[in-house]
Amino acid sequence: MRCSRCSRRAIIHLRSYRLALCEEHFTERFLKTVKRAIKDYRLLSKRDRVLVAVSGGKDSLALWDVLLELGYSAEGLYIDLGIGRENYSEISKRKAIAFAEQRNARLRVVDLREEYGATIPKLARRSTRSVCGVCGIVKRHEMNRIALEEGYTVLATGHNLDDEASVLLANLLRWNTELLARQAPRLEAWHPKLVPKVKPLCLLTERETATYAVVRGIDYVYELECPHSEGATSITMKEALNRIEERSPGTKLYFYREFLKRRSMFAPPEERGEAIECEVCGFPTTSQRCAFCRLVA
Amino acid sequence: MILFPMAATVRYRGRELSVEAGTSVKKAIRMLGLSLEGVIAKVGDRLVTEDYRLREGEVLEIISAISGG
Repeated sequence: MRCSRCSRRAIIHLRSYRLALCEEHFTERFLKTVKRAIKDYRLLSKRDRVLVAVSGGKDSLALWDVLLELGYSAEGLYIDLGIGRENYSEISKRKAIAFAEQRNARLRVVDLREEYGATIPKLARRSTRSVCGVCGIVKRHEMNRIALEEGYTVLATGHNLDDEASVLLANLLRWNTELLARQAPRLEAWHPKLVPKVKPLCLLTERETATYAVVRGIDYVYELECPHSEGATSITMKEALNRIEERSPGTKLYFYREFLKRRSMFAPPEERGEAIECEVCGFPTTSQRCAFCRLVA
Repeated sequence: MILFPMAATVRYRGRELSVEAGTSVKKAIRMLGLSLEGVIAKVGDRLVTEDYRLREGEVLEIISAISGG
């Protein structure tokens, strides 16, 4: 297959756009798509101090790479979750550190064992929540804490189109209107102790971010998946969407973009009420102690 | 594992299978029961599209692009 733009050998076929691209034209298009998401959804400005949450996987490292390439002030945060099975956290951390060193970029590493004497598997054993549920609470809390403490103006995560479309599908299947109302490429800080969150890769598929990572020579964790993600609902949703996408190219992007246009239909009335601050960490919550502080107590 | 006289190798997550030279990447992905939308494919250091046909002795690496949790 030849590149649709220059007739060199293509490295990717984007069926949804009826487009085959060579390395150079793929990279150019990838950067343009990120810029378009940043502009269309007002995600970032060049004045922002961006904290990129990195896991050692393709999406977060590709995001960090793109933001640096586009000239943003972007530093990384790696949270060592202490997932020892298959040496997962250790290998992921090494990839994140190696990337930061190669790009001469600053990476902040937070180790849950050092900070709280705990790991995700240990916290999950003491909780009624699933491992993924516990992990989500811990990561969201720690990302926000570090961003706030160190004066970052925005937190960027590597969520891609597949992540967003699969969450959207799962929430629609359950008619979870509260979560549908909250899904957006930029989540504003509704409390002074929250930092806005953005998802600049939301218009790019996982296949595109994996391709970008390979083209850019990013050494990411690809042979290993988090051992706790086996059987995760998100993977089932992604596989279902990929089957539909194969039959009807472009469906994922249409599904997500059209949702964003219609999102306001799910918006709840403005009644967040007065936020209570957690008695331990001071972050906004709905009870005396936030879910994170109850977990690590 | 079936061995073909003019064979190429397909690798995916620790699994390895032998295919006839001339097999397309698309066919190899289908043989593994995967979606074209969920993977990328490499021969050596080069990324290849689904119409690429494997030559004798080549090793095709199929990499899952799906991450979850």
